[in-house]
Amino acid sequence: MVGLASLAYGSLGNGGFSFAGLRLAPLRSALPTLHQKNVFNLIGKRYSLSALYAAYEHSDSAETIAKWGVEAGIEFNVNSAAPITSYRIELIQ
Amino acid sequence: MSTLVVVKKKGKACIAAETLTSFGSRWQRAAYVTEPDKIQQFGDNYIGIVGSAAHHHVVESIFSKTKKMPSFKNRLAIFEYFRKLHPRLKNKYFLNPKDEDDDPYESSQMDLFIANRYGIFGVFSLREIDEYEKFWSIGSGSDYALGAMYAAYDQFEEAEEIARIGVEAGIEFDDGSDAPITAYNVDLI
Repeated sequence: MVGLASLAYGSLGNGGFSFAGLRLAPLRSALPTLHQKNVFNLIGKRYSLSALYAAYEHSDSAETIAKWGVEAGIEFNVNSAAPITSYRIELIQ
Repeated sequence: MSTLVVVKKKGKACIAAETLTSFGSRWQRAAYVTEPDKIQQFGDNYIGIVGSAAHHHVVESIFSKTKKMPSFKNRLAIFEYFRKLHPRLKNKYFLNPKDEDDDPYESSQMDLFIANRYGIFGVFSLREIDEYEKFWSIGSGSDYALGAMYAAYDQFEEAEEIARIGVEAGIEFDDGSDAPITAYNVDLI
């Protein structure tokens, strides 16, 4: 997970989506630096944020953690739906 | 405010909550009060309440006067109990039953969870009753708790571990929730 960043989205036709992204520092801090952005609005963020919180210490994969965040948004937020898309980036050490 | 959760897994149920009370912009942390717990035990039932602090005293008063605790064994039994309780809340406890103009029924104003050997249940202001199969949460931190428990449910075996993660997420992100956490476990039938 160190040195990797992952972004994941759950999308829906009405323009809404959940977004979860992790930027992971080479040395883990107590909590991830977390960015949540949405071009249109920010929805599903509470579910995603807390799922990331619960998953962070239980996976070494940034992508897996990000997907947990989006899945929680899809599970509980009416404006989020599968499928999820995710993208991985190798971070500069 | 508050984060209150119930979890059911592998024959056990857990009800857990944080302990912050807030009055407008003032926080009253657990260390300042004798009984900060948002969960009370009556017979074999654990009852957790969110919303007005007065609800806590009303429920305590009602059940302390009850000679035989209702079984609360299923949704209908719980519904019938709270249906009969509603006029008592109005007449003896001065409940204001007015909520939204378009509500189909008078409000009992309380949202609460019941955990007992029969399962985990939610009771809501219009006396809607839910029984849960996995987990649920109410209170201002409930969205955070739901997301965290969704991520945690398959990763942990113990209902209490999952419940605590849910409440911890509420404490981490919701400004109406704070430590310490109280949690109670029940063996399910």
